Order: sequence, then C-alpha cells, then structure tokens
Amino acid sequence: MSYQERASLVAILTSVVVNTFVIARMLQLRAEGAFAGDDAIAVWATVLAWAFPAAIGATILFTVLFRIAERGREEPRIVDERDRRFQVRGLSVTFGAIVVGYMTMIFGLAFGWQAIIGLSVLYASLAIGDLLGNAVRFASYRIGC
Amino acid sequence: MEKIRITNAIRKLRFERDEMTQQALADAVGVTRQTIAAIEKAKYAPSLELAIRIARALGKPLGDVFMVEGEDQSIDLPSQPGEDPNR
Repeated sequence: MSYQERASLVAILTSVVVNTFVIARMLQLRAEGAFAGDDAIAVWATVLAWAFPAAIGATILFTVLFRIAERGREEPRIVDERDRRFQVRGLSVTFGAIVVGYMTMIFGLAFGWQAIIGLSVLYASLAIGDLLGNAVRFASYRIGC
Repeated sequence: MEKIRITNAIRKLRFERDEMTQQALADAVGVTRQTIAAIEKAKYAPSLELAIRIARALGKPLGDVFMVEGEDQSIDLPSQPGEDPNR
C-alpha cells in the first residue's frame, strides 16, 4: 500500500470517528428532548461548533499516529499530475454529494421540513461527501488510474 | 467518437537504457515511481507534457515511446524542439 493510500485511509478514519461522535451526541440530545424547544437550532449549532475543534484535534492525533507508524518510510516529496487528478476526482465526488444535500435541504424546507432537519441533511451531505471523496481517492490509488 | 487506447514501450526502453529503474525515470521527469508504474501498465494516461518529458528522458522520439494499441502507426511528434516532424 502506497503512502497516498495510507494517507487516504487516515482521512477516512478521522472522518468516521468525528462524525460518529457528532451523530451519537445529536441522537443523545434528541432523546433528552433538547431539540424540542425554541433554541433547538442553537443547541444543534453548539454541537457542531464543538465538532470543529474536535475534528482538528482528531486530525492532528491521527496524523501524528500515522507519522509514527510511517517512521522509516520515505514520504513522497513530490505531488505529481496523477495525485492532482485523483484529488480533483475526490473533490468532485465531495462537491456532488454536497450539492445533492443542499438541494434536498432546499426542497425539504419548501415542503415543510423543520429547519433543524434541513440543516442536519446538509451536515450529513458534508460528512458523507467528505467520506466518499476520500474513499474515491483511496480507490483511485488502489486501482492505479 | 471512438476511444483510442494508448500503449507504450517504456519498460522495454528503460531496460535498453542501462536497465534504468522506474525510480530513476520518475526522478528524471519529476513524478512518483507509482505514476511511472501506472503509465507502464497503461492504467494511467499521462498528460502530453509528461509524455514528452518521458520520451526525452529515454532519449527517444515520442512516437517510439507511446503508440496507439492495435495500430502500427505511432504518434509522430518531435521529441526535441526544432526537430523535423516529417523525418
């Protein structure tokens, strides 16, 4: 497995851990009725506001662990046109998922969804898009084209 | 439009050039060894710029390095600036 494949796996792992934490926290708050009041959006946003530093912390942690595991192996010093093509491919998938989520949110709100449901769909599309983008990048390196 | 598949003779030409390694070729053209491996297996089609750099590193005209699969016809482009394309 190449350095880029392992780096993609670390990004996938980070994404899964952070989003699992966020989803678990959201479900817990929902069970407690925290989203029933007028301040539901503020509660929802607070969870995500904490998720940002958590995501940064998790990324740093997994990157450090990755570097330790990679010690002794030389990191590629150059990013070439193939790397850039795979990055663009992954970003295209991420962007596509976000567009789908955004459109779903808009139409959902138009058809009477609660705002918090629409925002959750948008967040889900961001999370899924990030995961799919990294998965596509990983698969591209695995396949080689 | 019919899709054409580009093949190459990089592996053969590397060995003809003092058994040049994939890493040595990669270093010469500024890409990773994995990219050279993917190009050799025809899994990845390089940009025209990279293809020209590879041909130059191997000391061959582009048409001797890359060719259309199923055709004897090679891709005729000069490997060096100023080279006669009709030679």
